[in-house]
Amino acid sequence: MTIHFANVDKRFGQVEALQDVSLTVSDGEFVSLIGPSGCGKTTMLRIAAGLETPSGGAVTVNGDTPKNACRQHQIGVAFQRPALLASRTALRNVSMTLEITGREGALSPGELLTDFGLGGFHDHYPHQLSGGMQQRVNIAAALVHNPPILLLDEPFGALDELTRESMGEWLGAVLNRSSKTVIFVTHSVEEATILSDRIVVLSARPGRISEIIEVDMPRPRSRENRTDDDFLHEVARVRSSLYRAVEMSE
Amino acid sequence: MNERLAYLIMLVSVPILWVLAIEVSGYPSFLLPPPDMVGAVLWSERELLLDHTWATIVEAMTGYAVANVIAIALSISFLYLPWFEALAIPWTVIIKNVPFVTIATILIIILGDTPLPKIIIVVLVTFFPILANVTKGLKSADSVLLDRMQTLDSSQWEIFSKVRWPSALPYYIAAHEIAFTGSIIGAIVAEWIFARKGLGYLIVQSMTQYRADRLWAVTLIASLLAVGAYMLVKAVERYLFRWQVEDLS
Repeated sequence: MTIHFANVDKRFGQVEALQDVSLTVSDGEFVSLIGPSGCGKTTMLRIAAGLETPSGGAVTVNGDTPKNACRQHQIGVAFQRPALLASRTALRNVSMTLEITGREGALSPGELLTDFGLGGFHDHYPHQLSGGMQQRVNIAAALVHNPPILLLDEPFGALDELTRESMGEWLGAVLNRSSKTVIFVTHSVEEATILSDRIVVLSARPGRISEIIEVDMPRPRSRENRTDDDFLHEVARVRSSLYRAVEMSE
Repeated sequence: MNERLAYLIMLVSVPILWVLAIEVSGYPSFLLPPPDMVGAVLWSERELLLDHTWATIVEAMTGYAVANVIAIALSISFLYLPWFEALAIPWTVIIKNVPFVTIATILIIILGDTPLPKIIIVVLVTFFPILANVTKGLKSADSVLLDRMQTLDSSQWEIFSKVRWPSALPYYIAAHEIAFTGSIIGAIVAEWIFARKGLGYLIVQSMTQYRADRLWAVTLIASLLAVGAYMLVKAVERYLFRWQVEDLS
């Protein structure tokens, strides 16, 4: 499953959200989008999910339109705010995906939640779960129909620093067992570095690709990596690239 | 203070205050009858009272059912046809704000003593809170959930039944809290203007005959009906949203 952005433009009225963005995310690759606010990273993800259409250029998912990819249930999405229904339990929120997509080729909602460390929380309602738990339910709901593509828009953005770190490690481990193609929008340089094969740094006004950085360490990476020199060096590289992108934005 | 206890205190206080009011004011019993006199009327005229109470209930419930159907149908059409909502808003504002007793009088002159004007009045009194709440509730569905549904290629029906309607349900129940009691008040007022049946008619009749004891009996019954309607809505609400109060176990 590859996702291909070819000279994509997106305008919202007078605002140029994306200008001439070209990017190919190859099969099984984890690509993070990072950049100052207003750089169009969420817009890129929403276009790939078929939730927005580009004003110019084209986005294809394995050669087809994003909408058709959705029709074939090839895409799972999770946003910063969990897309959970307050009146459904964790388990029923996850299985709601399968009520729509059907069960063919799907994972078991119960096993998935248990696997995600929520074994004792199947029958809890969203308001009874912590933010980190809600986000795990949310990601389970995005994954349960086993789509080859996962699009994540700052899924850990609302969590505290420590929860965020452990959720990042958890996600890295979960995804290493599958071979999903992932686009991950984040504000956090560390999070992008620990999870990604490549990091796309965007600059704002207009939103465009400023630099693409390959993270030269084997995946998955764990907590130990966070303190070693190679990792810190990669983080510094990404951060200075981000600063350059911010300067370009002003 | 526990809610049940507060209700109990109120129930016990009503007859005490009633008797006190008689003592303090000094009004004769044909103007302000004591509780035992009203109780005697409730018993001795029970068949008459039940008969008229039933008539009021039938009108109120028929009107209320019609109001629900109309209001929900309009709310759903507003969701999918914004131009229709824009067109309909001035009409709903007019219907809501024209004093309904005047419309009721006109309707009764035209339609006479038939059930129809009473049902129309109940509809006019109750449909607006349902329309306003359900319209708002359907639109309150979380945009993130709607996006998720769209990426799963859900049908319009799936989006409605799994996301829109569950989001609107708390708003719908809140509308019943206002409107369900309103249906009984609407029916009584309609009968009060002109009818030969129902609690509203009994009020007029008791008044012209200086039957304060029966007037009080009707007041008690009407109050019990309205409070009962409210309690019923509350019970349904507690049942439907029982998951909201369940503790972490």
